[in-house]
Amino acid sequence: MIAIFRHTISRSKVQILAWGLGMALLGAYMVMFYDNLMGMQDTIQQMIENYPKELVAFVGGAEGLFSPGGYINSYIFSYLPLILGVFVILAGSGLLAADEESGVLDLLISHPISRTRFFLGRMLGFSIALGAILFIMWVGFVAPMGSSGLNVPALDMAFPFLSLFALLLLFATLGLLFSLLLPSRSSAAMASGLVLVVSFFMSLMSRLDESMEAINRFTPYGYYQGGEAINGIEWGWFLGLIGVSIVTSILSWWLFLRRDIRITGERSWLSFLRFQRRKSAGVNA
Amino acid sequence: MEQDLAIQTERLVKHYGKVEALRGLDLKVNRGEIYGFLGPNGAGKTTTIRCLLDTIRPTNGRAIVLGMDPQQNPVGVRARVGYLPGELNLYSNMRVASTLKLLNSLRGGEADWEYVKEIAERLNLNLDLAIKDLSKGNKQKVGVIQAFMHRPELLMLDEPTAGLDPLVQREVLEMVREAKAEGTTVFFSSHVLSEVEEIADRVGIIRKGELVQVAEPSMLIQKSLLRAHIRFQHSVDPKGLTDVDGVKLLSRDDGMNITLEVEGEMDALVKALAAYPVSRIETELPSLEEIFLVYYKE
Repeated sequence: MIAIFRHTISRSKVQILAWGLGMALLGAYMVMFYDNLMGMQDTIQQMIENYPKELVAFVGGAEGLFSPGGYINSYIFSYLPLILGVFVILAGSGLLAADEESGVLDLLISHPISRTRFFLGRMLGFSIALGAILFIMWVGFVAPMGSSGLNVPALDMAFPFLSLFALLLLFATLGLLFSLLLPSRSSAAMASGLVLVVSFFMSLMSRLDESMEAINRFTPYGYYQGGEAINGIEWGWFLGLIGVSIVTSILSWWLFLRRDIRITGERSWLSFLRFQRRKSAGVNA
Repeated sequence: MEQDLAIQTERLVKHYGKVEALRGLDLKVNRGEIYGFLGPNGAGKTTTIRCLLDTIRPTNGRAIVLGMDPQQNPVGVRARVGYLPGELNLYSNMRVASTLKLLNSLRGGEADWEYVKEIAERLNLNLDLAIKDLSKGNKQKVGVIQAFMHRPELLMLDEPTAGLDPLVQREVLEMVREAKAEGTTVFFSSHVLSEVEEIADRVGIIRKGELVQVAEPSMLIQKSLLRAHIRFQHSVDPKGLTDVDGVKLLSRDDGMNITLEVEGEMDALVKALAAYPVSRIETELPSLEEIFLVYYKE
């Protein structure tokens, strides 16, 4: 398991650095921009009042826009899951399927490592890589905090990242699960991406129309606090998202244990649909 | 199940949807022998090997490898097997050395790196090269090294010399012979008759997922179709030859040169030729495809 874990981390190092440093720079810029924004508070307030309410909802709402939590949420954390979601969905859907489609998994799995250990090595490696990206980002936020009026304590600043980690982990494991259910990695990424986008828009809609909130509660985004978490994290929501990720991972592991590893390439939709039909007809293939 | 066998399968069945890749395969490979596993594309050779390594699961039947059930103890089986896939794929962004180190780490670092370097030298492969820069033949060498590097008890080699140049082919066959001399069992598939004849102790022919024949390589050649090119001193009527059982006229040029196809032993034909003014006889070994044809007709 250690060998697979180390290899997973090793092949993610470029992504860790690129995503981590890129987002950390963005975070540092936003933290330092806070004082300028506060200087333009009245002008911006007037502008926002003239914005369509759909646009205001997109940035997380106008309420408390100039408070530290509202600012961080509106300017970064409201859309961060969409940006990093692309990364985690591609990484999650490719965690096993990328190697299977390229034909390397057939060789790796023919070595003396159990599928469970292989799976755990990959999952752990990915989770640590995601944690490392968010940690680098957190450093980017915290480092310039002393020279900014935002002045959020380092520990409080960690909470939005915990909330983000839980949401991203869920989308990654969803990508992984779909990659074991659907015939190809690309279809799994598309399906998970669709859930991400629909979930994001449900969250927007619920800000425009309170009656949508009940539906929003059925989407992962409904349990994402974003920047508001600096005022205190909802541990129930956090653990709920982590719990769903664990269930999704267990389902993926179960499917991986029972899977015939392909030599290379994608499964065809035709054979996939035929297999599903035979399964539903109770034919043992 | 017999414990003294390296590989044994009993009525092994594998379906891919409607396709029956294996249809009750019964296979026995003795410990310490070199067993050639032959069959045309799609006959079930790779499926068999992958069932034995538990990368795919049989629909029915049972397999035992080195006394272990691959489904019950896949890690135990794979620890003692060296496997060269027929379609070898490697991480293109890695180097040869780091690829072999990764694969070795999956074995708990069991292989002796000096031995790895020794094999690489024998096969004339530079360990510092990037995988993406390797030719098909050089990639195959990486596959050969990773299969041999931990000195396994059982080698499963799917087309081991595919893509290699003749000199390296000879070296790989020599490595197989050396492995056998050290007590390793070798189970390999091939399309090259000369190498099967050269190194295999026994050969199994698989047809549509079933084992149709197990024999020594020389027996297979004897049983198969042989081609005889005969030149006479003057034009003759070949009827006396084509009347011989198992002999068929393939071509006839001006009555002085004929080509015959002979099934089985040559004895009857040679005796019939005694009545003819023969100038020269040349015989041609059958290709593997021609051998398959004989078994596929039965």
